Amino acid sequence: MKIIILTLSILFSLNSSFGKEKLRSYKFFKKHALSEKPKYRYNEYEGIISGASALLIGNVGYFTTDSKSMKLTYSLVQTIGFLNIGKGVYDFYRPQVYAEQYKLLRGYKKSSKANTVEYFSHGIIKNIALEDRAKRLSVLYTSSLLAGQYLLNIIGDKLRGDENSQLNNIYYFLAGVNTVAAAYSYFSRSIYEEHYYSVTPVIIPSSKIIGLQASFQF
Amino acid sequence: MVKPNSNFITVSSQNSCSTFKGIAGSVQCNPALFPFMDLATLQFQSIGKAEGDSVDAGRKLIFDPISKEFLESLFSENSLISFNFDSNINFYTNYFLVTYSPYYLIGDVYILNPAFPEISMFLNKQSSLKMTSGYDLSEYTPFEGDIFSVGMSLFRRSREVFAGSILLTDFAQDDDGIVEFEDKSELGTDIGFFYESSSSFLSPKISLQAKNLFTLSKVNNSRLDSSSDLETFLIFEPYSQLGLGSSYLSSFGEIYVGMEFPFDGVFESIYIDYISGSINYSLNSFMGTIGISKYFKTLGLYFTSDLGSVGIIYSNENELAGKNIDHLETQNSIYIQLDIKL
Repeated sequence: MKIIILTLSILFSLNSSFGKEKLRSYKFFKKHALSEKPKYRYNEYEGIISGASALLIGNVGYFTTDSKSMKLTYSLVQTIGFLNIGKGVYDFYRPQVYAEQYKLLRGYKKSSKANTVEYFSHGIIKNIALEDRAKRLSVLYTSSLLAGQYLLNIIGDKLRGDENSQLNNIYYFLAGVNTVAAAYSYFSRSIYEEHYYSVTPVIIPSSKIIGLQASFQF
Repeated sequence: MVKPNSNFITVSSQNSCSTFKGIAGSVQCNPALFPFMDLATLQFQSIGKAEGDSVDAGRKLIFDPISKEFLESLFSENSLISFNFDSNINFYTNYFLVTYSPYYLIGDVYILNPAFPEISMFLNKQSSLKMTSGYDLSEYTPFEGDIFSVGMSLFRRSREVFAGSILLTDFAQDDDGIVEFEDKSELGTDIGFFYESSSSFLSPKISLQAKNLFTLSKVNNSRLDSSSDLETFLIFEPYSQLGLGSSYLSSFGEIYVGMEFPFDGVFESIYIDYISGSINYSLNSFMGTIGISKYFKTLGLYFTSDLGSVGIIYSNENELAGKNIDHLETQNSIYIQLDIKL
């Protein structure tokens, strides 16, 4: 009898402390998930300003210098400008993972009707899908802009009568690679992205023109 | 001037960056800034003159055998060739930074009198390994919010040096034996201190550094004072620096201002002509620096991304400054820094 009581009391205490732990975890998560702070920012346009300065200096420098080594350097500056634009696109589209997961939990707490497994699966898929989409759009924008920039460099050189076949060959190659990367990232949606947006059509739900929908939705 | 273990910020600010806490690469200005640097695990970096009259000539001087024809062709247009280049591989951890520099090159050549051609040369090929660490001691400052740190570098460098004057006519007898490099290997240490006060919104800062301690390199004063010899200083021999600085953070970006006072030995005599000042502006992935000293003017632009960065430094420099010669030659050059982060 004593043994049974002891076992019961241990079980009870374990159970209750487990319950407290759960509650504490939820409170802890609620407190910290919503305070997920991004890196220090000077102002909200700093990405655009610094990216634009790279593009401005890269282009002005490129089209005013006659030196091959300086042209290569300025085209690296242009590239950095577009890489940062790509990073800005990623930051804009990426999910705030902690906050999204907290919203998921809060939603579950509020509605008791939800089918638990289906509800959480959808939420997790949403996070993965948003992350995949952010990465894909970042590559899409960066690669297509870079391909455009390298072609512009070739055209600009030709207009100035400054045809450097070696440099131009490099730009043709890079423009080609970036075009392929852009095309690939346009079409290659991950299965999570496909699934999430097929269940939740967010952009133009009632559009009859599928092509338009795709072009807006990427 | 590209000193050993240089990068964008050291060259564009003319080394007046010892108080630039948290600015990329400033740990190479002052080891005491180690605790405040951004970590990049592995970084490949090169910086050197990429544009200007001296570039091709300087490279050939260091790597190719020096012949009479080459020297004659060299000075058909310019009487001064000044070339320098540095490359670094940086490995960062939370506790130390290891920098391996496979090449640090200086090629300074000056022809004194075209009618009776005597050529003064300073050539240096060097590889080095350096370990840097530092510690944040802010909790021991008397005032809350002040920042205090110390740092130290230990290095070993192997140099091949030629410093001397040769007559072009000497080449007639023996083409190869005239320029003979002397091998020098040495150990040394740099020590730095940094203090930032939180008493004002301009965050005044001060730094003290002693560089190349315990090395055997010395400046040859007779060559330094002579108007016919080239001699480098504030690079290899023991010297020290006092740095003063300030910074201002606003929503338009962050501005750092710095001044550097170089001394011979450990704060023995000041080099008045080589006091330098700089202003640095940074916003997100862009940085711009202006560096000014009596004989050098620099403007640097730096663009960074997650993968790597590019720095362009436009420079107007007078390498022969301080020499007692009739015409001072000013050169316009462009330095390029490239780095890749892994």
